[in-house]
Amino acid sequence: MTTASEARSDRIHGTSTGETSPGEISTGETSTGEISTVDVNGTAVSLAGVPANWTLADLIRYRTTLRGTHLACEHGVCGVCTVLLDGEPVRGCLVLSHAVRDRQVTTVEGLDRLDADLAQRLRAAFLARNAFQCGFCTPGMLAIVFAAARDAAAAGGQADGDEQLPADPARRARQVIEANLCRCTGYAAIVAAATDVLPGPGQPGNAGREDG
Amino acid sequence: MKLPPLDYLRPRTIAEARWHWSDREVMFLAGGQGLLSELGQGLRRPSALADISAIPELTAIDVAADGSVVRVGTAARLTDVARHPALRGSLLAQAARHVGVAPIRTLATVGGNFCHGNPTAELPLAALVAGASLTGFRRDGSAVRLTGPELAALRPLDDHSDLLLTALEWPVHRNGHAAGFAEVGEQRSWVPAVAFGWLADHPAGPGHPAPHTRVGVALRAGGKFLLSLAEGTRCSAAGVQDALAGAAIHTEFPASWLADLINDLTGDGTASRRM
Repeated sequence: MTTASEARSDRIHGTSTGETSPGEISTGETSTGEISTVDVNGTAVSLAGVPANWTLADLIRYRTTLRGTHLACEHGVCGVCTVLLDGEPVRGCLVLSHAVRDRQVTTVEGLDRLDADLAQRLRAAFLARNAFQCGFCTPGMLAIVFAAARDAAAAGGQADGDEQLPADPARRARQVIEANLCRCTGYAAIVAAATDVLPGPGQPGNAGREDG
Repeated sequence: MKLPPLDYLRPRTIAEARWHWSDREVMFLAGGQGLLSELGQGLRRPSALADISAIPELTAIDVAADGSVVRVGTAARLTDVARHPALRGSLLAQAARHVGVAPIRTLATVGGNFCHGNPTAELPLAALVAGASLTGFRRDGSAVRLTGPELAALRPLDDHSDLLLTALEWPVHRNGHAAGFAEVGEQRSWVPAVAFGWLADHPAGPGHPAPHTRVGVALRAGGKFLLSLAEGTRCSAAGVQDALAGAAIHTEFPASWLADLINDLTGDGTASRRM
């Protein structure tokens, strides 16, 4: 029973077992010998050799050339590592890289792959509203607003994923970006930019204002 | 802040998960939204994590054949609970929407909210009010069913690791019902200081049982935690007022503040306040 059970479950070695010592890199193979991958912006990123304790944010930062996904608090509070997992926003620092094998990850660099028009309007709104100061929080803000705007458009402007959005545009924007922090405290401009792209009730989308 | 060295296990069935459980150094990983943060802060040191988030039996949300209960797997994501048609308008769905923020709810699970150890956690309070129960196994293989105050007694640093929770059994209120959930947080913390949930059974007409309202209050005040359950005999706002009149919360806050909160609770059920 023991042998059969072990054979069925995949075990990814980290750096704590007898097979590997701290700092060593594991094989990243499953029990069937296959090499696992994660789809990041359409590119298969191998999990071979990735330690079990690496998060998705670690994988993106250290196994790809993508640098838009930032790391700060690394315990799920600040939101700068926000990426989309199968289209839904997640904290990249609170997901193990091996837990998302065979799934699709979209970083801020890949938003156009999901909805080029929305991604373009979102960038234009952030530029028009000067919605960044140091820019460190911007990738996470773009990801979270993108996901909310897309979900709200799909729901006729009524919802952001699992929650109802207020009718007031500014309140809607604040509810969306409450998940992320801006250390420059540039929230007014970010709320304005998010308001520009979040569709209102009954609207499939918002063309985005360019009046700055 | 990097996670400590560990191994990652991916059991595909509950039986496999229970096999790994024989190693006391193994912890179960579901959504990981609390656990991974705690690992990073050095609060826990398992040698391995057994990821149960993809076990179909633990992620399913099904209505029982007789329609009396919705069975929610403990690894079901909160965002799925909030959206599921069988739970539409339920206190459970409303409570789920109050957990954290959207990116957290994408991965956070039902079981995780019960085991997170926050005395004002949303789902234990909602389950207590609705008369739901949690099922699972103990490490020795015996089946377990938790109800009532046991639902809110799970603490991560106690012996909950001797429990593998498998499902939340959520009662279906056939006669129609109204429900609301609200939280009050402190300005300096995301953790709610007070969580309220209420559920009222509506009478469907003459001859049906009298209306009945249950209100749960989880309160953190003065460094102490309080969980109380009160009941009233009227529906909706009046029933909530009846029930709260006897609850300890009534002595903790100004009457006007409480009146505003009741309005929130019995309004669209999605209120959150800061105090």
